[in-house]
Amino acid sequence: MAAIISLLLGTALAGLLAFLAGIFEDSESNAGSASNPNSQVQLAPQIGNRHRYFNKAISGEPPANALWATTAATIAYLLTAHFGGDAFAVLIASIIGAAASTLLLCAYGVLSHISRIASMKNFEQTMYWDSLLTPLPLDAAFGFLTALMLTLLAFAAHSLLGNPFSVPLLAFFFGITIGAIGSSTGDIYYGAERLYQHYIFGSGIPISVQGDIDVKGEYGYRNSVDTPYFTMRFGGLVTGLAFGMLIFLDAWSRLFTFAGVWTSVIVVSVLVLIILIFIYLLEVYARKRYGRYTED
Amino acid sequence: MKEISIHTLFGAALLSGIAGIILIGHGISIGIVFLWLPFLSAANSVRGMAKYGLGTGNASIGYWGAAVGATSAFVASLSVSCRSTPFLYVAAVVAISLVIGLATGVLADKVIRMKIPRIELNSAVIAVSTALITAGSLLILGSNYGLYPFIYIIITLAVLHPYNASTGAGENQKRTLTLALVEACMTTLVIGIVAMLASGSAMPISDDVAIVVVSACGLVIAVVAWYRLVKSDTYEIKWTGYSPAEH
Amino acid sequence: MVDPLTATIMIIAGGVLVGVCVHFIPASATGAMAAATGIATGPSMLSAGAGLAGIYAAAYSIDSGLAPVIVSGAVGSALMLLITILCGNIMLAFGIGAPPVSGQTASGKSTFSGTKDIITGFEQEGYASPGTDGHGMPFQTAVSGTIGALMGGAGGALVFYAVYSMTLPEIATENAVTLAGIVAAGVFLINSVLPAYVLVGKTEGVFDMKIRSIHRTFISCLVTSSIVACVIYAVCELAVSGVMV
Repeated sequence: MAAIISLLLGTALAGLLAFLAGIFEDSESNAGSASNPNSQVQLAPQIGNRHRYFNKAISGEPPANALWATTAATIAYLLTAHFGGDAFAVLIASIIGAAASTLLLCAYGVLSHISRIASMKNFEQTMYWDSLLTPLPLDAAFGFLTALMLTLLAFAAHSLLGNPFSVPLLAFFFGITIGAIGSSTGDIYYGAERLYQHYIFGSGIPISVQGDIDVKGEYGYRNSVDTPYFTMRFGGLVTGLAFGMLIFLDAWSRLFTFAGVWTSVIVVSVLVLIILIFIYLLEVYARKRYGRYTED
Repeated sequence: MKEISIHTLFGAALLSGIAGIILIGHGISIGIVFLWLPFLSAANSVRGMAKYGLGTGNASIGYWGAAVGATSAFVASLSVSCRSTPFLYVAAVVAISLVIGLATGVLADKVIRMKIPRIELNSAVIAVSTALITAGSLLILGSNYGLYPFIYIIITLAVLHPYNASTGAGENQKRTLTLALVEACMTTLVIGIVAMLASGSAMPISDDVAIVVVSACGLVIAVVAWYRLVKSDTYEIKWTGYSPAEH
Repeated sequence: MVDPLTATIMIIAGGVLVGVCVHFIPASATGAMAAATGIATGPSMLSAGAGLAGIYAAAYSIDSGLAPVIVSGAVGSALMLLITILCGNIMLAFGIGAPPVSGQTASGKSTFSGTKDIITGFEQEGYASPGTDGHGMPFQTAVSGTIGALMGGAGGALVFYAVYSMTLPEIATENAVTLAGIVAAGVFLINSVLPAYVLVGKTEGVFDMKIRSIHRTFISCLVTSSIVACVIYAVCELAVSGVMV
């Protein structure tokens, strides 16, 4: 009975934590213009758009998020050995671990931004201190929350769901996976919509205009603090939905016992087919709704 | 400006890395300063490969190279004890990572036909350098399997980040390598702190404190040197303002 | 548990599967600007994300034997990839306002001739925004990606189970699982980058002409994983036979 309650609790908790982690991860990457859309911020000064974005080019999202999550989880894992293993100790240790990894994030973010701007000398890009220091606390806050959620998720997967991997290894896996999901869903909204709001809605960004990003915002010059405000309303939520759904459905498929060891495989296979049907229906809808591109 | 060649840097990194590991193996934890050169050499080779804009981002090159190095060091530690015979352990780690790195580089050159000069050399250099760093970190942190992912990923970022951060038309080797030194110090600092927390760590706590102190000193010096280069390279540094063209 | 020699062959097979799977997964870095068909990130990064999700799922059934581990790894990866494709398409349809369309097929340059989706029969020509090479993941690339993820997840799980069986005689169970997990991740990361050189940062899966250079990936990954597998075999044999130098 206790095992079933722990599984149920773990499934609910893991789904919730993963959903939140997805939202925070996408906002973190957008606040720092990280990952793939970074190429556009990088390209902008070369075609004369000198900007005030935070250019946090740490690396692709998967390794960067894996580093924040693994550092936080490693420190928390070592601290729980000192504190004892109850839930309160895990929470405190995770907060300390996430705070430490946030310091690392800040250091890497500052080094990246300054170095990237220094390499833009030929294009007369000025290095503004305030365009680095204003978004940095926001970015760090989202980074802290991502690392904290992933660390707690790793503890939940290890002790409530019963995954045999150690906590830091789970955090490493979650970090790589959330980075891959975040850079392939949330970033589209930042890269193709937010950076190019002055182009009409309803089309991809042609390669010929890439780099011609918006440098002016709702009022005055745009800085990276405005970005999560915009992307969190749609991009962040869909990223959270993707990662939350992955972790939740994976844990949920293990709640049943009708076919022994093959139960979860059968459940996940059915889910895969259902998702394929949804992809088909969405494509039918989008084609009908938007139609062909016509000359105008 | 004349650039440091891959061979020179790698030769220095190999000797210094081996020296560092043997020092750490004999309980002299300050030997970690000798592990900074492998960081530089690996970052330089990431630069050498990513400069040609190949089909993969330099993040991929970094985590690929670190995966070769770290996997070699982790696997080798299963049968060759890194504590009792550090020299044999280093030899095994270097040999394994050299073979895998070189083989992959040759395959990328001959089978996949990438047109990148010296891709096989650069692959081998990244693999061996990261393997040396991983081996040194394992000696400090002890063989606690829970810490392996942390060791792998923190080295990955320190190796791939210097060139990734400096990319742009005004990039030069001197600034990239100085940034690599900054990040090497930062990484050993974090490794020292984690070693302090790991109570079952292979070293007494005073040695871990020594690592943290040395890394912090190195970090301060490296950041000052790096910022000096940044100041001379940047177009203009201002507190705030708008671009002049539009005002 | 499997014997060490079989485990070595499993590592080689797993490494090759991991390498080949990258060719099947549609991915493109410029997808983030909705300027090319495929999931909006680098092929090797995406495959790593899907593969590690598979190894995570496989770890739950480590005590149930070889077959459940491999199959749960495969479906775990497929689940991750399909959720990513679904959410990417949601983003494209409601955030950008464009239908998913295959650029290569629209311009008649796909592996199979014609400008229609092979599976659904939807016409692709005219649906791509002007100046772009398609966007999103149309149904045919989703199916191709599912096949790729099944292969990648199975490959990762094979390596995971093989390393677990080889190291178990010698170290405690929970340590063996963690070591096997990190080594499997390492083998995954080593092999998933090699195809990225062939793909030059962009592929549409089976429907891209680049699938024709899959033999190069196959040979490279075969050689690389053979070396890795031999090293792991030699080290584990030394350790098991008690030669602790």
